[in-house]
Amino acid sequence: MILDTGTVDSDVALESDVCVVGSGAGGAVVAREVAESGHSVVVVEDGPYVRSRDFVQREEVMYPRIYREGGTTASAEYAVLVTQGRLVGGSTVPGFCLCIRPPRAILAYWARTFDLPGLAYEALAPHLRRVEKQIGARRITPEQVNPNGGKLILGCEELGYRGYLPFHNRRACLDSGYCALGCTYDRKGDMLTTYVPAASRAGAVIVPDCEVRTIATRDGRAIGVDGLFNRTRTGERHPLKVRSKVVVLAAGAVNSPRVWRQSRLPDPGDEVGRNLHLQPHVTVSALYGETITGWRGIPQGYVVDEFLHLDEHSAGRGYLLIPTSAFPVTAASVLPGYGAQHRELMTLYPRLGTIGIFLHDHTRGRLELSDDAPPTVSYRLGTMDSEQLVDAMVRASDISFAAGAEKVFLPYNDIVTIGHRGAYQAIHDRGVRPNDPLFLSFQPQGTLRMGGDPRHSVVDGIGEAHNVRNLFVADASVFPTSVAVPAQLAVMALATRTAQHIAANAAHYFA
Amino acid sequence: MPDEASALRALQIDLSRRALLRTGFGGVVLLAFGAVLPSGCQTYSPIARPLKFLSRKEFAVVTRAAVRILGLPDDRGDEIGGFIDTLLADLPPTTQGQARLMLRVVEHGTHLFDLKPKRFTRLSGAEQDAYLRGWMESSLGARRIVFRALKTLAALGYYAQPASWEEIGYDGPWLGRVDATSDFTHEEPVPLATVRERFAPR
Repeated sequence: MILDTGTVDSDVALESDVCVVGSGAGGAVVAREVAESGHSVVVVEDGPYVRSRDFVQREEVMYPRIYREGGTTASAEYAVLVTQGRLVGGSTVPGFCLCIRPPRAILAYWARTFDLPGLAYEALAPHLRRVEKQIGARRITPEQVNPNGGKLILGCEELGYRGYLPFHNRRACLDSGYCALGCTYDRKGDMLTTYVPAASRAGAVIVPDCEVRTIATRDGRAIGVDGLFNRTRTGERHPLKVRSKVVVLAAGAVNSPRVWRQSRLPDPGDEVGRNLHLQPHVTVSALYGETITGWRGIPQGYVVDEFLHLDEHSAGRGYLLIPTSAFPVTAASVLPGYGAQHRELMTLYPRLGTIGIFLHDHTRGRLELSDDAPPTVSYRLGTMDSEQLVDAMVRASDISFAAGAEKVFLPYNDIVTIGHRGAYQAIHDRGVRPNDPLFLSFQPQGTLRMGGDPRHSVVDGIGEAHNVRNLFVADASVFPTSVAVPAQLAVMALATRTAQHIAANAAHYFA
Repeated sequence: MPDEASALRALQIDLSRRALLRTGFGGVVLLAFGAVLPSGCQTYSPIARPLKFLSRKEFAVVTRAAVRILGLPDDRGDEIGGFIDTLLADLPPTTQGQARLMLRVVEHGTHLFDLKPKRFTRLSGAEQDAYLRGWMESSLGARRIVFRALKTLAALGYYAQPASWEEIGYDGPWLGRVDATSDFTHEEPVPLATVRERFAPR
């Protein structure tokens, strides 16, 4: 069941075996798995319960409705805009449905370097298969690739670069292209239409519109959460108190550390909020002679991994190139230029193709956490990552020209145009400086990292806190490094594993 | 949009205290500068439409900045300003305060950054362009932040409006135009009493 918070008119106290904070890729999975094992579950979600009839395909309406801070949570130096979903189903609801398994080499590196033997690919594979089946992940067909993706394929074929048609969790997709604003037609296998209803059918209750402030503890053991409703019948922020035998924190890599810190939970290694990886994303736009209409069709229908270099002995380096798109407000905000130049660029909107760069970052930012304010992201791209980003902009430009682009526009504040193939010195000359180009981040991770050594990690290999009994973390916070690819499948598989561990050890946790 | 107003309360539009205040020395200077600036509207033209949030002065600043940044004719300014005014009216007080501060700093920053005797809205179009480009290209991060915020506000004020879509070739939402419906039934939420029946503390 899902609580109608419009009926809340007083303080609320609930009790369950497990309380899950967050209903995204981690929280919804834990809720379903634990509820189906016969245990009572309360899920507390900061954002609202929004149904597909409310996904109205308008940017100015949907961004504030479904994204945290309207999608504009800026880092302290304004180097990065962190975009996180804030509704029942979390970031999976406005996501692009791209499903990529965590690379075998990354998992091997994590297992070896962070003393996490249970993370070997073979151990995680059954969980990956399970979540892929539940969300309907299947490979994109060539016919489903939109013209923007087709340009990336063409350019890579010309240059001999490696890429592939990825898995997406969508069913009978209508190709409307409004994925980032929530699917009006419920054709995504997001948490809102898969794991959340399954958890509800299994007896869980989802409490939306409620911000968890603290995790309650007694004698070093988590015993529930305390929060405040954001929406009630009375208009007052009535308190919510949930008492449970186990707490699972799955509020995302920015908010889970906030809850940790505001709860004054132990942090002997000073690890909470550190080790922040953002997988910075920038776009390179190219002008083609024909209409691309990049906002229509399935976005992110192709993945170029030629430049992602991974091995078992290091965290690897490099980036993915993926076709991406934007609606008019976002395009106008992100596209470079001023005045008439900017307006002219906007009139070319239908002929613009866009390649998104997703950096596998080594930079380790941090969250500035306080007792009474939202976290502040502090992140300044390191030298090696800056070099990778420059390389990525050069490669994306070259691929665009190989696909027939007439011009390439780089993502700086002012217009930096590449007029012909090979004229890339401007990219090297300009380089990277804070907020120029502006990065977006859809995948913050690493801020409550997993590890075998309690001195250098917050949770163990199964996601349980080293220093608080019966407290688990099940979101991208636990990644020891950037996972190098979109985080959704890795989060879901790890959450499945965590949930199954809790259910299998019920006698221990629920005694 | 029935609950647009409530939804917009969450919108921060690049104006959060993180964006404007926590920007090191440059941000501190801008903040201190903004705090001593006048906020009166005596010399600003009356506006035909009723404003929900912006003062006449702030309306003038955001309108001029939007049309210059987006390269639009001056006569589009009022509709953009009105749209932005509606958006800002539903933001939290802290964010509204930052917006006011930002617009005040932009209006009077001419004295500080360009050593001009005139405020921003009194400059010619070309002078306004040179001034705003100065913010866009500044080596001071805090000034680039303000420019980004202005550009985002301008983009929201203009390109969210269907009237702008034809000129950029955007064919608009499918909703209501395409015969496609959801085949999934979303659960109806239940009242608190029902939840308490199952989950009240024993």
